[in-house]
Amino acid sequence: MSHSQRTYDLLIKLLLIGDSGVGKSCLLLRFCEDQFTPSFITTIGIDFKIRTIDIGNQRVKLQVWDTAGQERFRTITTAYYRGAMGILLVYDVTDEKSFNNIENWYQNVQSYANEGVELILVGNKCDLDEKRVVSTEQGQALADKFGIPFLEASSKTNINVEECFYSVATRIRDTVAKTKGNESGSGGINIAEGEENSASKCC
Amino acid sequence: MKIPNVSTPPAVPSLTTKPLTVTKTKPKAKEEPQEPPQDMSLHLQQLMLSTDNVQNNSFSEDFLEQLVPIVKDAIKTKRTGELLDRLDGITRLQDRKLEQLCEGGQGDYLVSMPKLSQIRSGADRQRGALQDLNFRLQQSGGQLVTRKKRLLEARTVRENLDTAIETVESCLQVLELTNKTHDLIKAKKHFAALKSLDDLQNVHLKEVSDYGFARMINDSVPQLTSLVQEDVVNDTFKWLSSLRSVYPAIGQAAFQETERLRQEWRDEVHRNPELARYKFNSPIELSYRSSSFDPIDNHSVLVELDPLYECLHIHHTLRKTDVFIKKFDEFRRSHVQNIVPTVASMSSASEDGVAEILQNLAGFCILDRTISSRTTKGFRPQSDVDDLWISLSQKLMGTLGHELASVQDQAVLVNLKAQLGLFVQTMEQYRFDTVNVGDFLLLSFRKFSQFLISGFDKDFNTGIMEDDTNKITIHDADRYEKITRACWWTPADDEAAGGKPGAATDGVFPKTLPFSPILPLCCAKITHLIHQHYAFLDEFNVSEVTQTEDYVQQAMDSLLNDIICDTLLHRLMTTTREQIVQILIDLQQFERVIPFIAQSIVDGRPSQRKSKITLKAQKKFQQASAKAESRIFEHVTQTVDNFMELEDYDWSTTVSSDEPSSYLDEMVNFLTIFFNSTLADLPFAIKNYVYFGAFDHLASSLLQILLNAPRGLITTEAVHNYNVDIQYMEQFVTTLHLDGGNASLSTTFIEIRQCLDLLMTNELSKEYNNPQIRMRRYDRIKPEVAQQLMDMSQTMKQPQSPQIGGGTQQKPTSRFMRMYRNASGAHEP
Repeated sequence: MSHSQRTYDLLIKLLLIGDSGVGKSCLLLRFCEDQFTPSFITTIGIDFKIRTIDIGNQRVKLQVWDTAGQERFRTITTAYYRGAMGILLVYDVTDEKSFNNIENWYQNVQSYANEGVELILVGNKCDLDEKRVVSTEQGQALADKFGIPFLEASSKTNINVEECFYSVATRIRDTVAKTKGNESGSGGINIAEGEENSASKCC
Repeated sequence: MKIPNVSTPPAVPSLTTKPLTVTKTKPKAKEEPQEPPQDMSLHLQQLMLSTDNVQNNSFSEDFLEQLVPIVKDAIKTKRTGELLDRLDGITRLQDRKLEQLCEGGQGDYLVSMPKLSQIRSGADRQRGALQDLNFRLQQSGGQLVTRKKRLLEARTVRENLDTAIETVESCLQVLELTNKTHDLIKAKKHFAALKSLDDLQNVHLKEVSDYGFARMINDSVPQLTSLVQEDVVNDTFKWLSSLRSVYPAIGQAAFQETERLRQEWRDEVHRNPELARYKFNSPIELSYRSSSFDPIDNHSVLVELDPLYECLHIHHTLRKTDVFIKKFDEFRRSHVQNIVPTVASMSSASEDGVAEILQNLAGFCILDRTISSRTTKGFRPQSDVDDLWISLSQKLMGTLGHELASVQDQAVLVNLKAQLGLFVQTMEQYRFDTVNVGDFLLLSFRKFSQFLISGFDKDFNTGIMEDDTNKITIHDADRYEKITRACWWTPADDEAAGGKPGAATDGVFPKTLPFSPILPLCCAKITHLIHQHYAFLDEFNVSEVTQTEDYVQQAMDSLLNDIICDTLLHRLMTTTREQIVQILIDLQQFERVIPFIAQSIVDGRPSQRKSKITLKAQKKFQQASAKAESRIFEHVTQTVDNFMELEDYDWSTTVSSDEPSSYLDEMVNFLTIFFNSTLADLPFAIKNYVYFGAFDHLASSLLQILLNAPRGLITTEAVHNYNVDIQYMEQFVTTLHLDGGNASLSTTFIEIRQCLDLLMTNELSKEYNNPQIRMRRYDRIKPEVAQQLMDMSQTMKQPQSPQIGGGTQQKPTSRFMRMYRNASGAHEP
């Protein structure tokens, strides 16, 4: 494949983290394939899905890494923090423990992720009103505490799923654009040009 | 009889006139034979002699008395004339004697003259006396004759009277008998009545056949006979009708007896398990059976057939048995109408209704059979009994069949089956052909099976909805034992699935088994289902059982195919790799347990057909497994493609690097985790297939990237960098630990390796065109690919600086990342 044949302008890597069972895989399935499965399938280790979206006039390829929420996969999953440009911290509004654990997940992000990583707090399963134990206000308060955006979503009824991913992706694209602008001095971004002369840091 | 005229009027008083009168008299028929004349003269001579000594004058009474009989005799013999002649003779003799005397002596004569006149007057007197006597005699004889005549008349009258009395008595007897017959008819003593009618006709009436009343009675006999006959038939039918109320009791008693016998057989089987394969009502069971059960004479039922016997006897006597047979059959047939109702409701409320119908029907038919076997041969032919039974059972099946369709409750069905089973087994004992009911039982069995299967379907779908398609984790030994037993899981299977030897039995919990909970759930349910199916057959007979056994096999097969396999196949459409992998494992586990299920089907069979069977599901699950394998293959290929999409080789780079591209690095990391976790439980053969497929696909994708590289821009540095990536992949492939070795996996990169080698050689076309070298080093390269490579080589840019393999340069990939990191000021490690 040559550069001219490439089907996207920007590749963004996102990461989903949160307790086991909060619905990370479901969010991803809804976002990438517009499907929903009620079964609870434990993600083993790590998985990813790809979706290409348009932001402004750019085709942005999103590679979203889905991590296993279970503790036993922690070693595997934390390895993926570093490569992530954006991280979605997901909890279940019907599961208080998963909400309380967001603090720990946030700590993990602080420890392993890049400093400038874009975050968003997502309260999933917001369709289950009668089972809800975490209020929108609590979620908002926590997000405010971290200084990150907050959304309540439902993969089942497809509420705010797009918004969550778009929110993070848009911010990342803006950051990249700004950097590119700063580096090249021009307003446009031409990723296809390559960046041989950029910093020589290893990943 | 006429009284003979013994005397004529005594017209002539003198002796001389006598002969005239006497001659006129007719001789009496019964007169004694005529005395010879000598006798009379002899008597007279004697008399004369006796009177010789007597004085002539003294004409004594004595003389007269002696003369009378002679006269009498003369009269009697009508020889009065002769007598008179004799007497005249005597007189003449005496005269001559006198003359002699006179001649002899005048004196004497003179003397004798007075004497003679004396004698003469004496003779006159005598004659008068004789006439008087005769008259008196005439008189008294006439009286006698008259009386005698009267006597005879009286005697005749008396005889007539006697005859009349006798006749009247006979008539009275006939009348009495007739009355008695009427009384007997009234008293319903039919046979006695018939017998007296017979007596009447054959004996008594014959005696008085001349009389009008007798003729009337005689004429009435046939009517009376037919009256008796009708009466007895009516009575018999009344009696038969009255038995209607006994049918249920007969049926019930017979059912109870069957239940008792069944229990006895169960006990027998319990004592002697070898007998278990013989069904109730089988010859073996029959040989063990001891029963003196009388269906119409037992603890709860008593039916006397006497009225029927009497009726039969009467008809037999009348020689009208044929008529009765016909009537009887017609009556039984007409009776049938109400035995089986056309509509029966089988809702739970009226289960008793079915029981009642069955009892009634059984009672009716058993009674019919009993009548048939306990009456004269030919009266109630067994074939009639069977015909009736067949039409009745068909009607019953029609009624029940109509209702069966609407049965929605499994319990109702089981109950119905149990009742019908009991019914069938009972009817078989009375030699009724139960094929109709048997067919119905088969129908109900199918319905039952459908209930079970749809129940399973429901449970399965609920189960699978709740199933997370995760491996089953067991926390205690008890449950472990249950689950492994349910799905025939052995420690050997555990090891085969990659478990450590002995791990299955080390008692350490929790334990994880490779399959998801749906497998033991299904296995347990199927085992139970098979059991339920066969339990339903308990009361079935052998021929039905064979058919149902095949049906069970089909049902289980379709259950495995249509419910389990299809559902799992449908779930394969999911994109969740964990699910796909788990489904594959589950499918393979199902494949593993299907022979056990088949064995259960065979083992459970009530019949002796124990040969091994192969379920169609076996193949279906194999195919499904293959499909799941290809789904995993697709998924892995898709994953590879996803990474490949992230590739952005810079073919015009002048910077060479010894680090692999980051997308490949990510892919290798990802695949390593994927292979070691998600795919870890897959059997070696499948892993090998998946890996091989994945790397084959990867290698050809990578080759395409090379071949698609823009001509004229490609630098040797870029080729170098590309070669580093390929080396990285080759290395990765060799690190993958597959049980069977990695030789086959490494082969996937041979073609790309040869291509690269060829591209990087200095004298490319020369080497390739040398057949020996080509055969040794480039045998996998297709000619057209080689041509492309040669074109590429010709346009390749030589390095601008001698830094190839310097190792200090960063790979040109991950530009976004670097860009991003720069922007966000992240620190590199």
